[in-house]
Amino acid sequence: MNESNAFRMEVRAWLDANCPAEMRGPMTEADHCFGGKRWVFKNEAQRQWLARMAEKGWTAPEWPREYGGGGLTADEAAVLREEMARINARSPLTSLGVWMLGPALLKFGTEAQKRKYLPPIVRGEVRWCQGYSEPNAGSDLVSLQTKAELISDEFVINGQKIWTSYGHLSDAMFCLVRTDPSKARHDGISFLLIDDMSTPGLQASPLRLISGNEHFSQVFFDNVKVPKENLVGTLNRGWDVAKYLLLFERQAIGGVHARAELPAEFALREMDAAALRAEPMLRGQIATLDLELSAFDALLERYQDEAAAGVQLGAKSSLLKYYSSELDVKRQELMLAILGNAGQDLEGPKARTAIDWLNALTTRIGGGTSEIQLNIIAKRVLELPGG
Amino acid sequence: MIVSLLISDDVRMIRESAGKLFADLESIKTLRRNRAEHDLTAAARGAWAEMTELGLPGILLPETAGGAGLGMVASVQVCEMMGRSLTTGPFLSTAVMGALALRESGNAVQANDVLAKLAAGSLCVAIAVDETSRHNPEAIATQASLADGRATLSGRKVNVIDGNIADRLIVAARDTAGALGLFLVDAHDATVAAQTTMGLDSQPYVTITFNNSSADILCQGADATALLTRILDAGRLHLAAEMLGAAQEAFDRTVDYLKTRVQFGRVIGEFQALQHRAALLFGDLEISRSIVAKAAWAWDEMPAEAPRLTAMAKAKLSTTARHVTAEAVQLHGGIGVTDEFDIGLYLKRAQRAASLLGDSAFCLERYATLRGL
Ligand SMILES: Cc1cc2nc3c(=O)[nH]c(=O)nc-3n(C[C@H](O)[C@H](O)[C@H](O)COP(=O)(O)OP(=O)(O)OC[C@H]3O[C@@H](n4cnc5c(N)ncnc54)[C@H](O)[C@@H]3O)c2cc1C
Repeated sequence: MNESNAFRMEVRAWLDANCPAEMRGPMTEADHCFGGKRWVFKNEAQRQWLARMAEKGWTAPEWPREYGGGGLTADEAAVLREEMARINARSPLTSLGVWMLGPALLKFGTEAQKRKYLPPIVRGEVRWCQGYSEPNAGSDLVSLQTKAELISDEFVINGQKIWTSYGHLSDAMFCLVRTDPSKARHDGISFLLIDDMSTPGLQASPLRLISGNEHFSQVFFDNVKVPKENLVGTLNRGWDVAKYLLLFERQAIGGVHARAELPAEFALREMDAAALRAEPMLRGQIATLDLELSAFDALLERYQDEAAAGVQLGAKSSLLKYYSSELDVKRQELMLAILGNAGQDLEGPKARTAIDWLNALTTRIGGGTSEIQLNIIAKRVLELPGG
Repeated sequence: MIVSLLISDDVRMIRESAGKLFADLESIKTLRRNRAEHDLTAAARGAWAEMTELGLPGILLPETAGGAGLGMVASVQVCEMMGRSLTTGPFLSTAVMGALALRESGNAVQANDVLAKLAAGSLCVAIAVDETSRHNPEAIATQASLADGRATLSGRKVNVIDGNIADRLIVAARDTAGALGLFLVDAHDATVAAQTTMGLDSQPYVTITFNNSSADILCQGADATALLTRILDAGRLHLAAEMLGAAQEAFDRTVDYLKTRVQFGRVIGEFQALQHRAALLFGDLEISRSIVAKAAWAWDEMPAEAPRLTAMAKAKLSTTARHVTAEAVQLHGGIGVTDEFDIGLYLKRAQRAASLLGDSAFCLERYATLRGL
């Protein structure tokens, strides 16, 4: 038996023993565990599962052990993913810290920053939010205006962020600020960490989505003070960090719907087979979308294999982000159609699907809109010229 | 073992040497010359001789049978490269479908003799199934009368892939009780009449009539039905790979064109409307490549999943390849619709391959049935 097989057996045995039964099976929006100081666990199993995985460092499998990570190689991390998928184990932690901030700190952070910030992220103790977008800086992020002035040992921040996912529920924020207003666009932006969302002068208020969820918020900064050690990377070179981190964001969003339930499974559960056969057009739509989703899953699998073999995904992460969200919208639309009128009763037993559909629409916008992803593929991957 | 959709170094070598061979063959020039001369065999025979040098006829056969002992992950690479270069030759019919049929037919006596020649490249095999215009392996009326352990076949088969150069035909027919059987017929027999016309893709369109043709019995009943499905699936997988190659090549040429053609004082690749179309074609190709890789992988490593994934791969590529090549024509403007320009040849091959052994609708229907819908 080779090494990777031995590791697989070890992982399998550990998961069998440690993954609570309630933490196996498909995950809906409501089943995510975000962690953080204010997190209320949905049940004991959720708490246990996070604690056990964090103890192994498997909430961030590939981070170095010295920062609390799992210290796994890419190959080993792939084995862990596959073994979790095998028993339908849920992800123990949904965390912008794991997805985005961690990789950025590992590349750009100082040793002190890594030691301070990474271990609590692995343990799910601090919930981070991302303060990038502003009312006048969305797709055109580099036009952002929130400014930070370095006054003796502190940055003083003034301005406004918007669409900050879970800003009102988070403990801390990583954000982009303009530190040199004399410079245009990419130059003069810095990447700052705000350790505490209750810092004086900082106020986050929730915004309601069309789905009814209070998902994101507006964040106002009125002379918010942050120590100068909280700068990540070089002053005025924050765009390098931001750009690097966006690749991880797109990749992470791209993988969110991996192995989601196929429309055929949903249809066979919600309709009886004879009724389905009596609607050949609907049946055809189901088969067609099953195919598109399965083919996209195969793409995710292939890119993961490439990553494990050391091939950098780079700008192709935009492809994952694009298809993941676009296909999820199609999937939710079709599931809603399958339910028929019962799916439109917002207080009925099938209300979930309509809400999930409305939420799916937001994923084509957050993390860079679909149109922006296509721009990136055209320019960065296909190397088409211009703008 | 890590489940991997990446190819090994061995397989990469096959891919690269096949790719190099096909590039050297300048298949498109040959295809055009053959079309002008209405010669529908020369190109295929020429390419097959070269492919035999590389040992490709026996790629899927065990080493004990003179083959290379490789799996479908390897053989689909060859088809992809054929698609890229528009190389013709009886690889699909002989090395893939024929080899599989004979190896698994259970009739060792006949099969082994034919297989040895097949592996040596000295004998070509074609599969004669369809009798209807749209692919439908259930609509088989060719009659087999059985006597003394042999059969006599009468009927008419259409759209026989590589039927014009085959030495042996594997024929699906029904006995008097209606049970399906697979039979081996000498294509050079006087009772076998092949009529060859030119297909849309400048490749042969072959109709074969059997008039009391003497045949060996390969297998019968449920075994024959199962084996026929397997052979057709193997064919579908490899056609998907071929379409992937053709679509990828048409796309690559199109991206190059977007970077060089100037209108309105700039290269047309600067226009966002075209950038988005190119990005979507690229995405569709990346996804298509992945489902072909996954289906091929399943044949070698997880056979239970192979039929479903194969149906998906052929359905996906039959749509993608037609779409990508049609977009490639459109993005070239006027030159794209001229006969002199090669991009149209890719469009035509994609269209033809999409229709062979079941188009998107057929394969989606097959998926839906397998899925219990
Ligand atoms: C659910 C959700 C969560 C989010 N979470 C966060 C978060 O946590 N932190 C954060 O900082 N931000 C977050 N965002 C903000 C998100 O990144 C922006 O909404 C997004 O980048 C688009 O910016 P915008 O809303 O200003 O739209 P605009 O940029 O004004 O876009 C309007 C339309 O124009 C199109 N468009 C714009 N520019 C181009 C172009 N060059 N080419 C073609 N089309 C173009 C867009 O695609 C869109 O269709 C979130 C958004 C959503 C919906």
